Amino acid sequence: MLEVIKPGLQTTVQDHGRSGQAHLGFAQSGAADLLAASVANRLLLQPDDTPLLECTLVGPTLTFHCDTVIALVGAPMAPLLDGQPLQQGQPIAVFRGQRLDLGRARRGCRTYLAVKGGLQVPPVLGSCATQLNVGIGGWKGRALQAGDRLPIQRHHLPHPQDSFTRLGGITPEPALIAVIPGPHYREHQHRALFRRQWRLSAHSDRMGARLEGEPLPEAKAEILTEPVQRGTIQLPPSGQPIALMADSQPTGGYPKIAQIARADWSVLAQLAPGQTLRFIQCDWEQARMMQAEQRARLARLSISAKRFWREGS
Amino acid sequence: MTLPFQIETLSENALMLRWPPRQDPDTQRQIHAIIGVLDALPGLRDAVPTYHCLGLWFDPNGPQPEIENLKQFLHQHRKKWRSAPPVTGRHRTLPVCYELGEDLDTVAQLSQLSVEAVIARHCAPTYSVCFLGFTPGFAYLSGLPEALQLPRRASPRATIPAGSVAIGGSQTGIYPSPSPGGWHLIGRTPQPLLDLNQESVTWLLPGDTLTFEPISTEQYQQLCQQNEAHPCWK
Repeated sequence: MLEVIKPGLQTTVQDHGRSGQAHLGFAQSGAADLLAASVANRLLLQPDDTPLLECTLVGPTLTFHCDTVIALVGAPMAPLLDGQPLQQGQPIAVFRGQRLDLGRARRGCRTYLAVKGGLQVPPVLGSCATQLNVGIGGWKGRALQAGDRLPIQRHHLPHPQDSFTRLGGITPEPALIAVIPGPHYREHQHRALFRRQWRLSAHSDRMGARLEGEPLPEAKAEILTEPVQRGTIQLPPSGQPIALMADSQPTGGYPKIAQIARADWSVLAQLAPGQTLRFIQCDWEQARMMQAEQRARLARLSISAKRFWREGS
Repeated sequence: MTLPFQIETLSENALMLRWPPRQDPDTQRQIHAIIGVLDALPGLRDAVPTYHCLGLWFDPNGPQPEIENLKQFLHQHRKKWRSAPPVTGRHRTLPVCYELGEDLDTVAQLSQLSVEAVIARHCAPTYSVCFLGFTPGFAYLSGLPEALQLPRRASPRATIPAGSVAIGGSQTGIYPSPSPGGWHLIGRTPQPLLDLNQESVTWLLPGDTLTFEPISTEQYQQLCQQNEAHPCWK
């Protein structure tokens, strides 16, 4: 059992999202930073889509009511276990009665707390991801609150050791995000989209990252509703683009000016409100190569994690 | 081989079929007929239809979907989808309390109709459910009379209550859960449109037809009490 003492700003249960329900209007949901969530789970030798906690800007304070092993990956916070500072990015043994205080994100936006065996929450429509705006999935369809008690399994780290090669951190500012021009992109928007710096608005949430800057020239006033996905950049009449995130609706009526390369989704997910970014243009071939490179890094990480847990060696 | 649509790359794991941009019954028939043959397509996770597009989302951990392969697949199965009949569903009657429509007077002014005439026109047609999107269970309907086709509100509302019946542009719709929106609110239904405990979680599905039936505030409250325990009203 994992008890919530303080919930943090917005802490939700996520996995890799819900598939097969988009035609009914459901978002895919899942971790905003899928890469960080996968890394956290791989450190514990479990599948990438094992349910974990997504902690946003201010992390929770939790008490563990059984022994377990955890991993913290993503934005660097200031985690304390019974007052002792913790390293992020490696498996950590936690004992019954210990209290974990994540603190605030020092850089970046979202930190993932994976627990060995996964959070034991019932799947809704095939996934444990929380879709906050409609209140389904995860823990009672909402962000965690003080007093919540989430079931977890008892686990131990077989050979505790402290030498683990950790993964690189958060991108510097302005963040660079690779995008592929979309079907409603027009050449006269090139300068505005790729030369200017954009800022993440405080009105951003898990549905969409709202970008502020000098307005983009209009693409097309209104379009007939079309399928959209996480990573789609829409241009509403205001000229301020919206990049769709994990809780993106499956269809949308604003012009689609670009699609963010999947390998850079986590860069966007780690921007805190007020932080700046620039877009760089790429093509699908380059986007696929970036994704292949990311998969190779994950595969290498799995090998290190196996060594760490003394499996396979 | 000639196909009546174009195929685009939507993302690394998604392709999209695009027909000419219009609300057209034959395009709808083709889209839903193609969805019917997709079971045989390996790695497909979601098929997302709209009026003139069909998004196909594949397993992000599987092989990258190729436009050429999809073309061939659709060409091979062309007999099944080219000749398929239109998708048909159930007929649904939705009770609506128009007295609770906050923008009903504004809509009457803008359309130069009396409030009674707005209600009568909104209830007259049999609407078709073309597809679901925007939020879970939100149906995109075709069939709104021209007299009620008005520009959307200048500034969208931050939150629209669940059950709101609204019109905007050439469309009318019902909000299954609270959400932001820029349409005019003309009524409220006590009927839950989303129920995770039912086998069909959404009350409406593509191919269904729908008519609106006016009810009084008393009837609305009575029906709401019956549905009070329903999770979607919390």
